[in-house]
Amino acid sequence: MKKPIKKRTSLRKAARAHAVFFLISFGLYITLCAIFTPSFMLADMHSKSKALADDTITLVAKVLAPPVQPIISGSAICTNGNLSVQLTWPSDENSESFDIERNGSTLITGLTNINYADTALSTNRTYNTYVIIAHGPMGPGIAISDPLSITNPDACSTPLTPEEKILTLEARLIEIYGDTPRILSQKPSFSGRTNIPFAKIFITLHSDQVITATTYANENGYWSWTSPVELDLGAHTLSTIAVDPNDATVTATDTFYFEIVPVATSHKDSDDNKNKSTKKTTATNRAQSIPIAPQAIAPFIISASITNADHSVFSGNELLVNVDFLKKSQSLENKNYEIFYDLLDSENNLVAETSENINISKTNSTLKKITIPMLTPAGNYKIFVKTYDGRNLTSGEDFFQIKEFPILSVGNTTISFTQIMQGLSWIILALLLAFLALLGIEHHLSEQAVFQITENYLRRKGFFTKRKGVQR
Amino acid sequence: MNSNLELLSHLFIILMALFAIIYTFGVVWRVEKKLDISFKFFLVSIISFTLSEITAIAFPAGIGLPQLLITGLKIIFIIFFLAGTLEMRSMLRRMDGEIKK
Repeated sequence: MKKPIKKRTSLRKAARAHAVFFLISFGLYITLCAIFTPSFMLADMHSKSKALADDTITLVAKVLAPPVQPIISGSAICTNGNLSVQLTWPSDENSESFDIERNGSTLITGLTNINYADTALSTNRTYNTYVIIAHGPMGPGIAISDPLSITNPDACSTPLTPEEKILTLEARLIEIYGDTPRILSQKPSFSGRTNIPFAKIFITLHSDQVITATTYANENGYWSWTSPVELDLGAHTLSTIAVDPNDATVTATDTFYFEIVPVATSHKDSDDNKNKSTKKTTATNRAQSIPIAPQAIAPFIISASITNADHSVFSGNELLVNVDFLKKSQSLENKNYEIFYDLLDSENNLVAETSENINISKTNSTLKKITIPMLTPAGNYKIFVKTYDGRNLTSGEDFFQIKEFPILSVGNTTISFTQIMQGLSWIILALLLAFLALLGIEHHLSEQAVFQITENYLRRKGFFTKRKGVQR
Repeated sequence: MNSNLELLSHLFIILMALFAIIYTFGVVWRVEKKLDISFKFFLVSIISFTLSEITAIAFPAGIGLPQLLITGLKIIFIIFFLAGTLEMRSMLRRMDGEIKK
């Protein structure tokens, strides 16, 4: 009778040992969880359950790498007297789009091809230098190629037939959109290119309201512009005129039709556009145009230009903005218009603003002096001048650079705020050394002290006296 | 606030705080009894304040652990500052005769 009991006892012992082992292990696990926060336990349990659930599922995912640095190759060719440069670079699955810079300024943005023919070339230069900037979603997001200089052939003349093209809408090439470009953004951005360097670009955006604007192309003829106000949903027509700054009779124009649609419509249309993505429909986009109501013509256009030397100004100094009012209507209302001056940084953030009232019927231009705030960081900025005439917005913009004012100038050597900030580690080291030195001096001085000062010592020395008029 | 101006302000605060640490050490080394205790409290509070400012510069985003550290150091600062003030107040009340020894 005792033997079976013994067996049961040994079983119980084994069960107890197992239970103790389990409890110790579990306690250890809980202790670890308490140390590494409860989220550790949740994450661990989650991963364990996922591992159990997913052990039969194989997931294959490809992780994109940062964009690869493009290697440009290209050559200049002369066909029937027309100079062009053919550029090409290797395809890269990690890059979504490419920008091209020519001679340090933007030439075109948002390219998805891996080749480009630059035909807007001047024979005044013996060579042009190109840089490709690849944009991708991973890593730093960009990769910049080494510059490539291409020498122009000697016997090639470029007859300048003025050209102007609107190239991108919302940073995507217009061709990509299909028949009718449809977008969601009610403040769309555009860019284009003309073969007139530094051309003045007159922009007119027709919709329920008319927006007129002026901006400038860079030396490569590249320009970009973003609608300063939210546009209504529906159809819009953008017209641009590029005017040679040296000869106002040399002009080129382009017109572009697009629609702003609500979210649901856009999704449906984007699927349609994907099906038609191989179609080149530039001509269709440009041929269509919504009718423009005769009364919807802006009575005047604003043209802003910076008159500071080299289009640059020191922070704290005055920016000189010359504003021309190009009147389109003889019967301009005899009233004051509020002219707004917005100082915007390269990301269109407002840095400073001011306004003034001007009776445009009595003047053709005005010179506005705007003081740049003292602590404005150095960089590229633009002045945006605008006014409203009823529902219509008229604006003009020009670009300039803010240079940093030197804090210290000795001969040809200048020290600016940025340079001081760049030497911050040395300043911190110097501060630390000064701190230790002062602490050492203070300790040495305290060692020289004769008395250990206490409150009683202070009382004896008369630092504390009885106040008058106190009842005790 | 302009980021440059903000950084300059932090540096100025740290510079002043370092001076405060040095001279508070000087007082601590020279005094005894309750004066000593109260100034030691002040010293701890100013050191934790300085560390919180340095942390704020080192981690400008101020999220997660750095934010927790900054808040913790500021709590230490105010607790020790209050302790120092109460110690000094207690000493003055005793000397003033409000509290019997």
